[in-house]
Amino acid sequence: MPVEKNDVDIERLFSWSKETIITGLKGKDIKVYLRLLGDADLNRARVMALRRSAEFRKALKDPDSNERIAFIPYKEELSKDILVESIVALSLRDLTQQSLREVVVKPPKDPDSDASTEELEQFQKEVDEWPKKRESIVREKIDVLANKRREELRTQTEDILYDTYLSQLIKELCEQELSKRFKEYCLFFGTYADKKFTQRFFESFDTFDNLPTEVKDRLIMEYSFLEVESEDLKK
Amino acid sequence: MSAIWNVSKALRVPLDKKLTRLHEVPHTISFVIRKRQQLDSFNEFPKEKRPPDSIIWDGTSEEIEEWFDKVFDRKKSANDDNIIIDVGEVE
Repeated sequence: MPVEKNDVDIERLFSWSKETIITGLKGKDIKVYLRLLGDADLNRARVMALRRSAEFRKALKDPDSNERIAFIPYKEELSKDILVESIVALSLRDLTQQSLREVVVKPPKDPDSDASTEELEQFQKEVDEWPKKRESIVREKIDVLANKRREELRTQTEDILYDTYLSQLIKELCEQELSKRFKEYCLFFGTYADKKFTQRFFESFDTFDNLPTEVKDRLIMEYSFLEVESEDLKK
Repeated sequence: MSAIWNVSKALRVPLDKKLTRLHEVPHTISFVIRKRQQLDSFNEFPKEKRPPDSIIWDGTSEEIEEWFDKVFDRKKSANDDNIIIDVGEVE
C-alpha cells in the first residue's frame, strides 16, 4: 500500500544497504552486501542498459536475426482482429502516459494554519482518497483513448497494421530489455563482498549475467526492498 | 520527506553518518537533497512566479524551463538583447 501525503516513512530512506546470502552459488552459501547505488553508478547502469537495448533493437530490426525469429511472429500468423487488439495492448504504456499528462486532478488544498479540527479531518480524508480518485479518472481516460485508437486501427489495411504492430512490439520489447538490464546493472554495481562496500562482488558483468536465473531474480528482489519509489520521494 | 534536508543542514548533522564521501550517497537521498534545493530556490520567487506543483513534481526539466520562459518573458528579452548584424553590410 503506498504511503500517502503526511504519512511518509522517512526511515526507509536510510535503509539503503543490507546483507544477504546467495544460496547455491558453486554449491555454497555466500554472504554478499547490497547497497543502493549513488548517482554516478546509477547513471552508469542506465547508460549500459541503453547500450544493451540498442543492440537488442538492432537485432530485432534485422529480418534474419535469431532475435527476430524468436520474438516476432510472422504476418501470416496474425488476423486483423488480433493485430488491432495487439497494437492497442502494446500502446497501453503510451496511452497511460498520455492520460497522466492530460488528466489534472487537483490535490486537496492545504487548510489554513488556524483550521479547526473538523477542517483538518476533512483535509486528511481528501488526502487519503485523492490517489484512488486520480487513479479512477486516469483509468477512465485510458479506456476512452484505447477505444479511440481501436476505432482508428480498424480502418487500416492489414499491411499497415502489421507494420504498426511490428514497430510497437519492437518498442515494447526494447523497453522491457532496458528495464531488465537496468536492474541487472544496478545489482552488478551494487553487490559487494565486504561490509564497507569497497570491493565489488562480481568481477565482470558477464560473471553476474551467467548466474542461474533464480539467483539473479532473488538478488533483484532483495535489491528492490532497498528502493524507495520516486512517487514516495516526491512527498 | 524533503524537509529532512533542512533539518539536517540546520542541525549540522549528516543525513547518514556512514556516508562520508559524496559518491557514496544513495541516489534516493541525493534526489531528496536536490529537490529540497530546487524548492528552496523556487520559494525565492514571488508566489505567482513559482511553477505549479504539477510541474515541480511531475513535469520535465523542459516544462520547468518553459514555465520560467513564460513568466519572465525570457525568450522575448533574449531576442531583444541580440545585436543583429546584416552580413551584407560587412565589408
